[in-house]
Amino acid sequence: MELSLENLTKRFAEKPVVHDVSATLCPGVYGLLGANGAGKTTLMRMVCDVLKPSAGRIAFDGADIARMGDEYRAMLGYLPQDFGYYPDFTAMDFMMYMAALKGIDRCAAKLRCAELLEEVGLAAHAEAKVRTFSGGMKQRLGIAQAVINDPTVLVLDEPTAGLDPKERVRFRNLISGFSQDKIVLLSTHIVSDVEYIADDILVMKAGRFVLRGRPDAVVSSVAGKVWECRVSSRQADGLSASACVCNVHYTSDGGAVVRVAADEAPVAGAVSVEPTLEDLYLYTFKDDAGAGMAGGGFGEVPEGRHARKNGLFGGRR
Amino acid sequence: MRSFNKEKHGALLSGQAEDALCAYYRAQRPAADEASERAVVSAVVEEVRNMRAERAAADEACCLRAEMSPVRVARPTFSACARAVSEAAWFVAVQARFMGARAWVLQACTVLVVVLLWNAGGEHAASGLYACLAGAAIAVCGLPDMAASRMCGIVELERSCMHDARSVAVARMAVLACSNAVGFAAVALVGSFVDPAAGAPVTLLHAFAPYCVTVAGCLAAARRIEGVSALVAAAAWGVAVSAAAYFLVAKMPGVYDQAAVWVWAAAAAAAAVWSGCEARAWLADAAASPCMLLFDSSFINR
Repeated sequence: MELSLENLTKRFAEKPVVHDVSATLCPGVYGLLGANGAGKTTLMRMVCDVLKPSAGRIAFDGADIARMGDEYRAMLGYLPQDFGYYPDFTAMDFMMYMAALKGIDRCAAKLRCAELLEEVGLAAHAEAKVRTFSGGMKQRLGIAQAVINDPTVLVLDEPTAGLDPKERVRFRNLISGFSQDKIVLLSTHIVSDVEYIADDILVMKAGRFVLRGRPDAVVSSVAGKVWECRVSSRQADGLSASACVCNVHYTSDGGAVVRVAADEAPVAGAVSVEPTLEDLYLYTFKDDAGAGMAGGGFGEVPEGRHARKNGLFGGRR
Repeated sequence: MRSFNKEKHGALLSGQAEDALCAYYRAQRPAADEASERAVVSAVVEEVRNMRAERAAADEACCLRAEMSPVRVARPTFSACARAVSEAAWFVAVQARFMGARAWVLQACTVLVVVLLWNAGGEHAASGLYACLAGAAIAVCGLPDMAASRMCGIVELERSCMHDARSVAVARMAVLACSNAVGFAAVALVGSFVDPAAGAPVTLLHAFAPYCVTVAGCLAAARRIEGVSALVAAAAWGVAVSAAAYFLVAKMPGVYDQAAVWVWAAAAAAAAVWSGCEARAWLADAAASPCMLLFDSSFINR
């Protein structure tokens, strides 16, 4: 099972939003990271056949998904970033409606929907109107509808946006539970979400993949570039303006402990510390104006699980 | 070869050298006997036969692939057609179930009001004005259900499903067409009772032209305008069509006479073509337009 993105490009009014993206996805959880406007949602919409690419193609096991049509969509689960529902629908109505759209028989759908609502903790609210649900409940309903048809390809666009930490952890665990033997593409700009559950990370910037690989391998690419130093409050403010500061902790004695991502030690006495995925993210997006890392900088980190299996990314063709 | 020619023949041009070489080798070739000529001919015939067989095998394989591929080239069988029709009917029934009775109730109320007006008599009772008003009102009643996917922001989810947003739109059109047909039947029945001279066909004709114009205008508005404003614009268009019908009866009463039936038929045909074009554009947008993905979430969270 393999989903290939082949030189995928999407333009809106001649402006490329996704630009010549290529990758090969095998079963596993892929975390798609990127700032707002990086092209994550557009890429996911193309993967879900919601938008047609301007150039390039997406192939599932070698067959173009545009040609496969409903055959491809039958094995797809999708949770959009901001999904709607018919205002009069209860949670069960919504699930049954989605099951009908996915071509599931009514009797089978009833059982499956009840089971999934139970699994996402909404069984008690099955007959409540969706419009009365909180953000977390709607997201849980969203993930439940995405997996009704036991999809082979599961695409989740910012599923944890707007959730409180407890809901986020619950959601992450749900996704992990559903992701066995599936290609899961999970987009977020909440770094810790992908850090825990993703097998591979794809970082998007200005419509391109600028970084890709296993989380630990990706993070190790900034090893020696993350520093911690103890400075005065004034110096800390100066650093915030001039350097890529990951964290500032002001202490009661008027000083501050500053964590900086930089090629060189930002101040004398700064000590190199263990990097995290968040440091990497901030380092990658420290200069949004620069195309930066594409082709240079970090580039591909090849020791990924899937890289070993099959060659993770096809690259340019 | 050329360097050889130049060395050997000096001033000879390359073309001349090649000609000379050809003539030399032709002279050296032994005279062909009949047996070898036959052998050559039979070898060529055999080669051509092999090439044809390979080509036929390749064509057959191509057809087989096409048969097995999801996008079929071969003619569908009867059972496949029956399965497709039953699946389509099932999906239309699903949409009808989830759409609920709103469109039917709205339409029933509208038709009832028009019928009451008609029965109340008045100077326009015998004219086609009420049929026109009923046609426009019936068209507007179905619009909220037609535009519901977009208004409620569910197009994105629908597009990612096996039965995509286009199928949903087609199914909804089918359901609304059924409900509108019932409405038209009621209008025709009442019209033939109130104005027996005109009869049901003429009443239907008077209702059908404004119906198509209203459907086309409403779809155009809903396609171009976002959010609740689309519904407002569509309702305004329905009112404008009704006002135009009233203007016709007030200023040109002759337009509802029997003699003008052909004018109405032409108008209905033109309006049907327009509404067909708008419906097609609506389906195309439902299938692929990025604009359909925009929605105002406050509409559903109100």
